Amino acid sequence: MKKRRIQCLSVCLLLSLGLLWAPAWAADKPKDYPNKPITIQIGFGAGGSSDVGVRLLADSLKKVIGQPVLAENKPGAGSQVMLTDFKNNAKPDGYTMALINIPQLQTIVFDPTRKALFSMKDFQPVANHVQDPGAVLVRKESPYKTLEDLLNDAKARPGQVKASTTGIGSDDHLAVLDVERRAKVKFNTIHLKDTPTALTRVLGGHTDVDFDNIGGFLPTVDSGLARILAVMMDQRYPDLPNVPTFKERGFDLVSSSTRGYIFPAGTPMEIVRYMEQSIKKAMADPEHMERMKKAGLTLKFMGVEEFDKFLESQNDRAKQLIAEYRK
Amino acid sequence: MEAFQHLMTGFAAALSPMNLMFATIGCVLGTLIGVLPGLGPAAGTALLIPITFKLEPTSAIIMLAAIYYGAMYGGTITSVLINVPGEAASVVTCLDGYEMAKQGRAGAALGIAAIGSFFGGTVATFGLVLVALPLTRFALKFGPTEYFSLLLVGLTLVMGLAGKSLAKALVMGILGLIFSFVGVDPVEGAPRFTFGVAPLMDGIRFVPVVMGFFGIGEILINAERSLTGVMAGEGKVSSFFPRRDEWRISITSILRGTGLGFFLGLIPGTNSAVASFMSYSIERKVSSHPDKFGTGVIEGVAAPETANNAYANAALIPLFTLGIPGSPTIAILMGALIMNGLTPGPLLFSQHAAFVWAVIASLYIGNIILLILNLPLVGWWAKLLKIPYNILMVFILVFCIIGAYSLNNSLFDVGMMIFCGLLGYLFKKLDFPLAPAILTLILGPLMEQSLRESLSVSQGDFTIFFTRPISLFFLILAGVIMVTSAWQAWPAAIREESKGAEV
Repeated sequence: MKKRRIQCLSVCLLLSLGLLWAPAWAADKPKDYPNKPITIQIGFGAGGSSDVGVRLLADSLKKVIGQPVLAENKPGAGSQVMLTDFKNNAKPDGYTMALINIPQLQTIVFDPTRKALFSMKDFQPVANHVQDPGAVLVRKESPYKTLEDLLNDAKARPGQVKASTTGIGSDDHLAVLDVERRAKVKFNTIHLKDTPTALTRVLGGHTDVDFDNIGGFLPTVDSGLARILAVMMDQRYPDLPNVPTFKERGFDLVSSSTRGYIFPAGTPMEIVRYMEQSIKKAMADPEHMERMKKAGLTLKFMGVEEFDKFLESQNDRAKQLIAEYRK
Repeated sequence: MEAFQHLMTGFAAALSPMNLMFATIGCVLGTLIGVLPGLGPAAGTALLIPITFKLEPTSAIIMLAAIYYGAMYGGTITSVLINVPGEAASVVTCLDGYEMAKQGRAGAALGIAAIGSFFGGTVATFGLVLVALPLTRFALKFGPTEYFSLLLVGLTLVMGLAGKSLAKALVMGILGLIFSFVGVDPVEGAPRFTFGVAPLMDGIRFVPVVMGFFGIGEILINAERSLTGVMAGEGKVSSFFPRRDEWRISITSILRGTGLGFFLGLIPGTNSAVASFMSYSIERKVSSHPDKFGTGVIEGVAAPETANNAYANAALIPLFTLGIPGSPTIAILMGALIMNGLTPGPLLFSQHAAFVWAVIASLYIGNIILLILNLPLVGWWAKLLKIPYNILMVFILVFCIIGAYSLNNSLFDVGMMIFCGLLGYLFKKLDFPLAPAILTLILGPLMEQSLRESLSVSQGDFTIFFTRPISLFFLILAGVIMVTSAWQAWPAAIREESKGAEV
């Protein structure tokens, strides 16, 4: 354990000494790895924001590791199809990674209704890549000007205000439950298929408020068709300086769709470390940062330990809220 | 008139050698993607997004859009020639297109498809210029309730796909619905009818079923007949122009297909397969010879092919005016726009006018390029049929297997396709029509989702479908279609008898 820590420390040290010192970096590269293309499996469809993030990373990662990085879509059941396949078939040899979405992973694993054939133990966290904060959106014509307007109306008409999510067990759904619990209100929660559907409904006035993530909202907000009432972050979102956080308004609510990468459990630690550092390096690529910004995706790196801890920290929240919506 | 001036500037930009080249590349790639079963326009476009970073945004979007509607053209080719639909929107083209090919008239089928597509695409683009904004406002009124009722109209049209027996068509329709139930419950997230098989969690996919039913099924039928000679009219491939009497029929079909495709394209959440199926069924409904459908009538090719291209171009309207992608492919196009620094939505027209109008102009040019590319090639494609069928069969089989596999990189889909091929063979032997099953397999999930969403909005109250005017209109329409179809399908003798009884 100690040795590993020292190893990790030295890697970090070397990194901080500057990425330019390539020969020393190469020395830490696992022997003969990678010597063939690496595949990242995505449990979501091509073109969605999860998929776009992976493809953009793959492009920068390939420059770092010197091998092609392929993105492979196996969509279905909120990534459950891909994860089942990943658990059953991916070899722990460092050539197959998978994208996970938190808290969607937890709501699949811990929800008995989902009958998941895998558990958290089957996966080795590598690094986190994206954190897309949750937010609440209403259309331009909506009478709700502030978060308080919305919550007051929801209190006055319990179960009448129509709030949409992008699916049961999604981060948006958990956020709705969280708001309901903390503000002591009740929405008429409507689970929709995806972000475009949710936007269509809220713009058409078929739903009153849409719970989703900032990344998918920005185009609609920029074009003036809708506005964001509040974001679920610790601080205000840099590009939306006038939009308050839930925290400022007295609700301790921080929620996001967080996306990172895993290897199958049992992958050699030196490979995990190498990939962790390679992802970190790829994320620091200015070209990557620029493209991610354009795509509305907020970068958030977490290394193996931090990512692992974050995953664990989300388990209890997910379990609690699952118990609430499956009761 | 302002729009007209903008459009002219757009043409100037779109006709620059660079943009013209990218439009042509897009059209060629799109046609290829359409020809390959499995690799649909959505996946094809997604694969090419990284390339667009290196291009100027206007050229990039022109190319991606060309791929998108090029695929609509390409999908027709395999449907007509070998009964394997290249993509979902071309399934219904198999019904009459392949029959025409068997009669040696593959050229006419492909020709009318290209002409109809050109017309539909061009008119829809005009719509984009003239009436984009007010129409999208209207389209937003389509909530889940209206959508469900509209789909119900589509479902009643199943009867229009019935062959000789209405009962057999209904059985097949229900089979398709049952297939569509498999997978994860769209609202509750619980797996259902999956029998613990992981790949089934994503449901029974449409493409392997279609390739099995049509492509593999056809191979098996032919193998049984041990047809060794030339299949398509002794290799005689007539000109790609339809007969004179067919023109008259085709023109009205193309007009109807354009209208329907344009309308459906405006409504986010539909797909081009719905457009082509509905337009085929409508043609059959209004035709003076409905019993001839499925034997190689030209309007059975003209209408759906027009509708899917009108749909493809009209579906860009909600994207440009509201920033809402109406279909998966459009969603990818939207991603490409955003990543190139262009925010789709009403401001796009004012902030990036040069870009928008160049793209719109390129849609016209793209449609012309496709027509130029396709008409002369029709003869070449049709020559494929001169290959003896026992050799062609092997290629079709390989082609289908690769297509099914490439869909999701899964052997399960290949197995599913072969299984459906056996089913398709059996159904053909027993004279059960295949199209109703395909239609309900497409409509099933869409209907389930909109039904449950409506009921979720109304908190379980079914009257929501009757209290909203647009929804009520479609429900009445569905009722009328159902009653008249049932009446037509009734055996004549009984019809006479009941007439007597009434008197």
